Amino acid sequence: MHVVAMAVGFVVATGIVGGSIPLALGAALVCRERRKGQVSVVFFGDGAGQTGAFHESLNIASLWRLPVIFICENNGYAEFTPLSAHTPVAHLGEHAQTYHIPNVTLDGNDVLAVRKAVTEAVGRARSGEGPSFVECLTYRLRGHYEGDPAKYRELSEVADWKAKDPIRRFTTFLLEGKISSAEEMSNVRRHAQETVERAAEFALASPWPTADDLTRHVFAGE
Amino acid sequence: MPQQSYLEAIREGLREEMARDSAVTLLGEDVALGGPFGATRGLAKEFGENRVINTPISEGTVMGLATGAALLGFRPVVEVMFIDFITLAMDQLVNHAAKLHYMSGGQLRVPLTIRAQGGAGGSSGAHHSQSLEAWFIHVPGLKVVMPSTPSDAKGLLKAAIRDDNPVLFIEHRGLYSSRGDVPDGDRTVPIGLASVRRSGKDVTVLALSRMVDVAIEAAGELAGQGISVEVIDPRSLQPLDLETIVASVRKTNRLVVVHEAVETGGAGAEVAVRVQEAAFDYLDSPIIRVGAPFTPVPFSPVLEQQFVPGKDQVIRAVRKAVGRVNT
Repeated sequence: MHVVAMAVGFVVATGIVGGSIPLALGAALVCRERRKGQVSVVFFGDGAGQTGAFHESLNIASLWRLPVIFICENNGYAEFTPLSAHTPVAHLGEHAQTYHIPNVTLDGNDVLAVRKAVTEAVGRARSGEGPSFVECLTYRLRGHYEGDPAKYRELSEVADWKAKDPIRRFTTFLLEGKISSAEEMSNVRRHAQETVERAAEFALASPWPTADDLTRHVFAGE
Repeated sequence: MPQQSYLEAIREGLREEMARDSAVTLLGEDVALGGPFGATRGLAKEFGENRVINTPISEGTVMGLATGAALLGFRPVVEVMFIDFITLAMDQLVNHAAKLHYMSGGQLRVPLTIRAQGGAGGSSGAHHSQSLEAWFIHVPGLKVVMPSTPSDAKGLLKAAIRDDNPVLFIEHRGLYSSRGDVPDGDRTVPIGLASVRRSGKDVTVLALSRMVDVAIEAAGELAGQGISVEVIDPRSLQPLDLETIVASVRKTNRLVVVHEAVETGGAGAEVAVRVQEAAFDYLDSPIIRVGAPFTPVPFSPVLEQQFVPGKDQVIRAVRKAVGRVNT
């Protein structure tokens, strides 16, 4: 939440559920008009599927054939409540059908399946065929927020999904197919670990803002 | 100097900015067809429907879409057909457009202009008549502009489009056909600068939007009664040119604030308290507000006339300020 990294094309992650979907349409409009082959990708959860922004955005994206890819991470829970208590629609890809958007509902913990679907979606967006919707069925292995005891779900359910951990599954696939060696995999893991640790150290070592920073950046150009 | 209507001046401002900068893109309901009042008439033909984009009736998403396009370097101008409909776009305007520059530590910019027209008149009823500017001056990150003349409408609109911040540009439907001198050429009016529309020495009347004309009319009549009124149009509420207002109050020692919005919680309350903070010792009488009563805008023409502040109310307020209530 609140992350911005324009240097790598990451525009923004907002604190309002569903709020980033219209923003992604604006990015897609710019991509389309600038004709540099860029596309816009927006990630949201199943809870966003019941917002007005979601439905308005699917409609406009399809109507204008915007190069945007909707990636719905359907983890079965919106905050504390199961999806079934929020909508009678089991798979949010059904909404994409309503708005005539090519869509697929897939195992979101299958790295290669997600890669294939998103690659196809990017191809459609780049060739002017408009938006695509990829619904990734997945789970959050931790709670809604850090420290959430998550008493609203069964431990057995969590255990089932832990067994489907996408990182573990993909590692097994790479090792069994002899695509990567155990040493390579351990290097990848170590590199990831070190990157996160360096980021944490940087954050902890950074100075706190000063009182002057409170009113900076309310308006641009001041 | 050529004469133009307020609406023509707005259209000309849009046209000039679109010709000047290809990043300027219009979005809104029926804008490619010119809109219900004709503000964008002819622009789709001149610049193409890729830059004058008709949208579905999805105010929230259109505001977010325009914000997203602004983040990537476009300079969108969104038309909210009636400001009453801006309620549907509050999340995107208030939570996203207004805050992303601050939340990103200055990395993101939102050069977005929102054109909305409001105000009562013609029995348009409670859903097509409101004056809502006060809501938006409460939101850090938004600029709020309310022009009252054709010249200011054009110059401020051009400044809004060039501004790197979201600017809510509030037009008054009742002013669309009013005419005035509009200087030729590429001229902007800086946002945050008030205009002294009539000089006077006894009472300062600060009026917004269409109420400026009402105040000037009242001032003319009051001059005949020996009361000299200075009329100030702040032109923008956020930022507010307190300096010009306070300088006037130091001279006249009395202030009446007039707006068409409901008086309770209105922009006049903010102006009044800021003036008394800055010039308490110069005030010879309490600051008086003139605004609409605390009701939705009524449909009935009889009630609507009661609702909208008029010349007589301004005259009464000024006479009260100078202590001539019963004379």
